[in-house]
Amino acid sequence: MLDLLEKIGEHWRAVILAVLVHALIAAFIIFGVRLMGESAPHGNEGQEVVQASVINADAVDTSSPAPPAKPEPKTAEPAAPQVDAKAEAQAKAEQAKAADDARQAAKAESDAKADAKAKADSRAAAKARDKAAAQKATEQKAADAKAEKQREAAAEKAAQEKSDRAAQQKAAQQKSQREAAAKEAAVKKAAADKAAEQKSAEQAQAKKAAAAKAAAAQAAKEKAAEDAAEKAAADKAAAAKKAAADKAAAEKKAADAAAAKAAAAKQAREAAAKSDLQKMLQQESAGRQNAANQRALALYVNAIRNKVQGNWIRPPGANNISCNVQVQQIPSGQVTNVRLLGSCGSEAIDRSVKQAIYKSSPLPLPDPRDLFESTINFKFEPDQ
Amino acid sequence: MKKRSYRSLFLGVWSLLVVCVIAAPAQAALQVDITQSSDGAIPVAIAPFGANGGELPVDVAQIASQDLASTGLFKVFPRQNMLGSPSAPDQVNYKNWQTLGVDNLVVGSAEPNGQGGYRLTFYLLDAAQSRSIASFQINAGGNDLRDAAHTVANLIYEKFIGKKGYFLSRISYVTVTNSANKRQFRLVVSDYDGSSPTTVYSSQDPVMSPSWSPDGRKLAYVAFNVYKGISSVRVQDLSSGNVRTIASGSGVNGAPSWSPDGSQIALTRSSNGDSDVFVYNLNSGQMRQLTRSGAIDTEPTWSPDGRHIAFTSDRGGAPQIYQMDSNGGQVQRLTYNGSSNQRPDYSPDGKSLAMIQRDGNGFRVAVMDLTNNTTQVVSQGPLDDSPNFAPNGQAIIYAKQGRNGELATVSVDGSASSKLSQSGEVREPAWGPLGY
Repeated sequence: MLDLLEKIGEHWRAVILAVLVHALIAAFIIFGVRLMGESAPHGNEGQEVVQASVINADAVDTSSPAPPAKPEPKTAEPAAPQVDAKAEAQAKAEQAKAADDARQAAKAESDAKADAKAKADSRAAAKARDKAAAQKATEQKAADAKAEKQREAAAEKAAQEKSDRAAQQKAAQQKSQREAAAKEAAVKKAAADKAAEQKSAEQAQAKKAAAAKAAAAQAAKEKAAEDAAEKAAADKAAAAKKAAADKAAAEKKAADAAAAKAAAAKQAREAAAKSDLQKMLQQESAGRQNAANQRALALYVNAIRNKVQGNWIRPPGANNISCNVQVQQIPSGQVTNVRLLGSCGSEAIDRSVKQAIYKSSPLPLPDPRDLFESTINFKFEPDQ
Repeated sequence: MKKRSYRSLFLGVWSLLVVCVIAAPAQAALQVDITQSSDGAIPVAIAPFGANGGELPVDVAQIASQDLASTGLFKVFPRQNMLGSPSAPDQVNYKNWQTLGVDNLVVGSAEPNGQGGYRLTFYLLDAAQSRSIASFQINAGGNDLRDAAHTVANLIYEKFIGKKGYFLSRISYVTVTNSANKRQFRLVVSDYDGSSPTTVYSSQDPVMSPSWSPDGRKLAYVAFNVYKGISSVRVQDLSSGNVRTIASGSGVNGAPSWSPDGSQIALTRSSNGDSDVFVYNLNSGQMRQLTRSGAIDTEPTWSPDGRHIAFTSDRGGAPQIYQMDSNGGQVQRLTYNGSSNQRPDYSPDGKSLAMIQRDGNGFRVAVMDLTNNTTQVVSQGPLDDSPNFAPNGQAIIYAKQGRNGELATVSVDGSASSKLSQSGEVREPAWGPLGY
């Protein structure tokens, strides 16, 4: 294990890169989901098309799971470009960080830590509010998550490059702030993981441990405040607290374990969210299709009823009419056979019923056409 | 191998299940409930009958068309609008008739039957189905083509309406003609539509209340002798002209009505200063009194099952209709609508009662449903009288007493009516049996 940790320590750049890639993939997964959400309006147009033309219920069923599958290849492909993008992003981030550093240094000189904390608290509070809205709109979350991850990536690079404690402390503060923001999103665990990993990297430098503790403590406080608001956050806060406590004892194992747990939980949650979303989308599209079919079917039945009723002149004075008639038609609506399942009451009524149906040939056709039924059971029962 | 066969069996069953599940909804037939019909007359066209071996002396198609049209239940397509005049199914271009909105077409022809008469063959065609749904053959004597035409109409009527047609039935009525200083009363019998009238009794004194025997061979009616001051109820055999007087004398002797079995006649006689209902047994010659109220009881009529007699009585003040057992017991009042109700007549199925109801709109024909006691007015008024059911129960004949008395018929639901034009004043129609 120690070897492993040492290796991680040696290849910390690679580790961080790997984490970044994961974070980006996660972002793209969520982003992909959002794309699907955006495609919902197109889906509505598609629904009109469904109503206007023939669509197999089967075909629709198979097509509905397809959209959720698409985002995966999308996320897989961009993975490679992301690496390139990262280089650019890193460069940009470095510039940004340099600017940030300058600002932060100025801040550090002028502002006390307490101020930073207060700001962080206020931001956290604002973010807590945002969370409520974010939970409702998955798109916002995705956007937040993306933004957070970009910020985190920048933060990580900054932390790596800065060897100064003060800078690291500030970075830690920034990170803690960002972590607070990260908690808003469903993917906040990733932030916790990264924080833990960063801390482990910092722990390699004994001096930085204390700073990390302070950062962890701040993070823990903020998380605790957020815990009250959110259950999901509570899980993460607990994980973060544990990680912080472990780090205080300088146990890298605990940190690894926490990170592994968090990662596993994150994956599980994402997977669950993904499958839930897929289910919901499937159900929704199936339900929509169902409702459309029900409506179309009602229109179809109504059209047939109106035509036959308009053509039925029942014998004057005939009452107590009740009979079932089975009618066969070909796809053009042409009636090919009329079979009375028992008499309607008299020969004259039977004749009138048969004539009404034959006179209504061709029967109205359904829209969409796949609602067509070659057998129609009529029930003649007026005055009921 | 075994494993493999099990596996393929499993796969087979599984795919069968899948197919069943997929196919099941497709097999579910569409269910359509028809709860209304369209109002309207039945469209029918009767093409002129073809004649092999000389022109027919009677326009069979024309008479049958008039028969159907007179009921108000058929919309008869006018001959001049027909595209061609087919006389057999293979000559029919169904598309043409469909285009004209003629759902039903009758084509036929007549040929000499070798006995001085004709053999009529005709078909009822369904234009929507483009095929014949019934065919008929009638033998007619050389002078019976008119009745044959009525028979054609009866057969078509029954196919569409489900009841026997009344186009061979006869009616009886009283005409009054005024000339110089004389009034002439005639008892007339004619075809149901007023054609072929024959006078069966004529008098300068009033003649009233004809009533058909159930077999259609006799008429009971009331004759007066003003000079002697007597009235009498007579039964006359229509073919022989023989007359039997069953009640006669001063005071009231009137309103005869045959029992359904033809063995008795209910009538009104005055007794102790007012009118009461009596029954005369034609076999025994016995007269039996059924009502004994101090009010006027008159216009008796038998229910078709012979168990009840309905009559008009003013025992409650205004004239209303009552019903009693045919032996005179169990009297109950039937009518409560309108200021007065008179002239009851049972429908042939015994389920309803026609009457003259008086209200703010005058005297009009009303039909009371005896199963639920609802009443529907079916004529316009203001002076309608003597309603009498057609023998198939689908129409009511009555007298319209305007400036010129005339006869009219109306369907039992009031939806279709027609007039029978007669010259002079016409009263008291009575509709005879079906005649076949």
